[in-house]
Amino acid sequence: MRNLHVYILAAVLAAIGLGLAAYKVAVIGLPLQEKAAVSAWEVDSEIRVSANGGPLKLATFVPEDSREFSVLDHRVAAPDFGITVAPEGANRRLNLTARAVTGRPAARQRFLVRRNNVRAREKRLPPPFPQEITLSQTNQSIARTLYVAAHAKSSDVTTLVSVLLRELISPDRSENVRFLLGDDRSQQKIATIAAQVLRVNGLFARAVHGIDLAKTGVAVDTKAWLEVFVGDHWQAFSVATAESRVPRDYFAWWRGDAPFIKVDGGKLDRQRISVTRVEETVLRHALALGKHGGVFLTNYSLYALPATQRAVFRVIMTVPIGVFMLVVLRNIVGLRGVGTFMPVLIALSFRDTHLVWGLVLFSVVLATGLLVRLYFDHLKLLLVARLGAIVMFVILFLAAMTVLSSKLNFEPGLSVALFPLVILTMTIERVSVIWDESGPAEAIKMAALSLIIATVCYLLMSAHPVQHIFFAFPEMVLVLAALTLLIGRYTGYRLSELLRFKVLAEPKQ
Amino acid sequence: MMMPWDLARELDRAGVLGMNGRNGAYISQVNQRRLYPLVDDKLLTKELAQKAGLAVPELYAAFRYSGEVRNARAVLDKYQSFVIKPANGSRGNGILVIKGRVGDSLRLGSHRLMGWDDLLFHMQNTLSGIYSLGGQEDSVIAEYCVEFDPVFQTITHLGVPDIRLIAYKGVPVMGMLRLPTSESEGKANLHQGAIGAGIDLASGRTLTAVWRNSVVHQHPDTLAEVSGVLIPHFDRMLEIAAGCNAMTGLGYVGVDLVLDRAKGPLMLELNARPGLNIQIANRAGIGARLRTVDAAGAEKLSLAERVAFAKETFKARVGAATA
Repeated sequence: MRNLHVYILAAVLAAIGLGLAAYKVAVIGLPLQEKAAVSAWEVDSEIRVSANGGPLKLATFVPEDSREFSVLDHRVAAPDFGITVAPEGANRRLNLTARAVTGRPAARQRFLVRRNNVRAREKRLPPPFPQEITLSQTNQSIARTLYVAAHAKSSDVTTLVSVLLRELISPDRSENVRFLLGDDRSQQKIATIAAQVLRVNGLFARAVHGIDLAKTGVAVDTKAWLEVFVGDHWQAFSVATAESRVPRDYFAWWRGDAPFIKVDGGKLDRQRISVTRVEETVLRHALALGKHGGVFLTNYSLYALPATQRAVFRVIMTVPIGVFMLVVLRNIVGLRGVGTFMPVLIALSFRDTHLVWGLVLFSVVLATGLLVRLYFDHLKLLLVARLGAIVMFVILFLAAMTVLSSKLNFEPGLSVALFPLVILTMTIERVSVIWDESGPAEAIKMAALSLIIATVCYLLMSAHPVQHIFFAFPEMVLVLAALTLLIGRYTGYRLSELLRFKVLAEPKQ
Repeated sequence: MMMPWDLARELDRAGVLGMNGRNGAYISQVNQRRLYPLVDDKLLTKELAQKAGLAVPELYAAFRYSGEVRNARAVLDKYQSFVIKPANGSRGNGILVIKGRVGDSLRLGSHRLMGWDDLLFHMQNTLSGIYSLGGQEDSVIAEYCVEFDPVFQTITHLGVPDIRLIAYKGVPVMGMLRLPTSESEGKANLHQGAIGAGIDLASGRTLTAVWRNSVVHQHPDTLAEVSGVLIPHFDRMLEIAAGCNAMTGLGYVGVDLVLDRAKGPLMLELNARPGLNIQIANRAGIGARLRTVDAAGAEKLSLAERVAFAKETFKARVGAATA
């Protein structure tokens, strides 16, 4: 009954811990390894116009978050213009206006594109209606003919669109197609015409314009593809391959037939889009996306703390693993050091002193403390008074050692911080008591064992992967707690007992 | 090469109980924490035992405060021999046996001499808690110094042998005779170098003995045979042990007894967390015996029946005594 209770509790704790961690890995995208890298793209769109001197109006598009991508740190730099952003159909228009400008004013927008860890939920926007049809009457009848032909060779909307696109882009295009497209065979033109043909025949369709993030450079081309509303979502179609998908690096910028830039009262001089790839840690990436998306677990995580607290908790969160190790050492291996969790505290103080110097410092100071203790033994002092005097002399000794190492320019000697000092004196007290209770051999054995355990704890607790796991996933402490509960009900042998009782396993003569 | 898990399986088959098993499956189940002070504080234990009509070493004096220790000489001078022990001591630490006087000095059981001021300092230290569990303030007990039975004369060195019996739910399940050696400096604790000899509960005869984790047949100081020694009054000891569970309310308890030349078996102290070395001394697992008691429902029997049950059930196999 009691065991069942513990098992259930442990299972629940472990499930919560692992579940939260799995959620953070899969959905928020926190990496299991701190150093894992990921790409983001910095996009820079530069526009330069020749102004007529009168009122000048520039209109372009602001990119929006999509299922696949998030747009972060969007900035507009246009010192000569007033800046307004307004929704327009499926897009957001960036309007730059000025009353009287001369010369060649420039405007640029700059933003960072990150690929979403998990595709954002799609906005099931109802398509706008009525749809604008720009084809002439003649072209509309051609569109109907093309549609009927494609309809006959297809089974559903998706294949219909593919068949139609293949017709539009095939090298030996028909007379009808040549008439529709004219001399312009650009992707933009094909996407626009395809959308018109489908609209004439009652389907919802639109051209999409964007950039291929895989092609980085200082002056990249815009790409165009087609979107058709199929069932309940907008389905992308490539106008290069006629397939019902576009490369995963295609980033949609604006939709419809409108040109990227419209200029009133001036002449477009130059338009340039540059894409730079930025290598980033997965961690930064995930945190930035989480913050951008207002994810609760990101905003209320240890990462949200100020830098100094973060540094403290990076250390504190490793204490459970050290404590867990002590539980394992005690109950499963059968080793014990000074005090219950003293080795973990010693390991923590090694963080300030560093391992080798910490070990030297501990050994020297401990030995000094015990020598002082040995001498005091002859004075027949009461226990607490004697311990107090030992602590005082140890502190004097530490001060002397620090001053000496400072004079000798011996760096590590100066690293005695407050915390190691407290731990040192506590350790000396504990070892002294053991010396009194169980004799010097036991005391020295326990002290040495404690230092060994503390060293193992230190190596474990200062390992970066361990620190990262427990800082990024504090819920892993629940998993440790679950394991600790299970060990708490472990009634089997300790490893040391196998040795101790070995004689009992041998058959009697 | 025997793999650890094979060894663990072998031990399990032999019914050996480990520390985790003792703590998790027995002590935490049948020993309530609030009852621990009854056995941790030897003054309380003594009181309890006297109320239950058990013979204990006579209490000469108890010292609870520093100020009282100053009068210790006046109080104790009239006794030629006495024992000083911490009321909350563990593992035999802090115990001084005063056997007599040499001039103004005290002669210890270990034949060393000690001045009164050294003794008083020792008592002050004990009061401040250096021998108590967890270092809490403690009391000092001065009590009758046991004159052990002559049967142990040849198999002990400088100290009083004692008999440890483990009683589980009113049934004595295992026993051992602990014999001080020169290495243990008169103490009867195995980890300090005393010999432990298993006892056949049915006959009260010692079985094989262990010393420093190896099997011995002779006392290392006197070279006398330690196996096959018949312990007098052993049945009475079994009865005392069998009554200790009901007396304290602890389901799993270690009972330490001494055999006085004149007064017979005396109950020295009780232990709520008795050690597991007794299994090595008996070369048998205690876990199997505990399970036997549970399976037989032996706690419902009367005291005499429980002792009879123990003697019948935990009889040593023929020839084991000379093995």
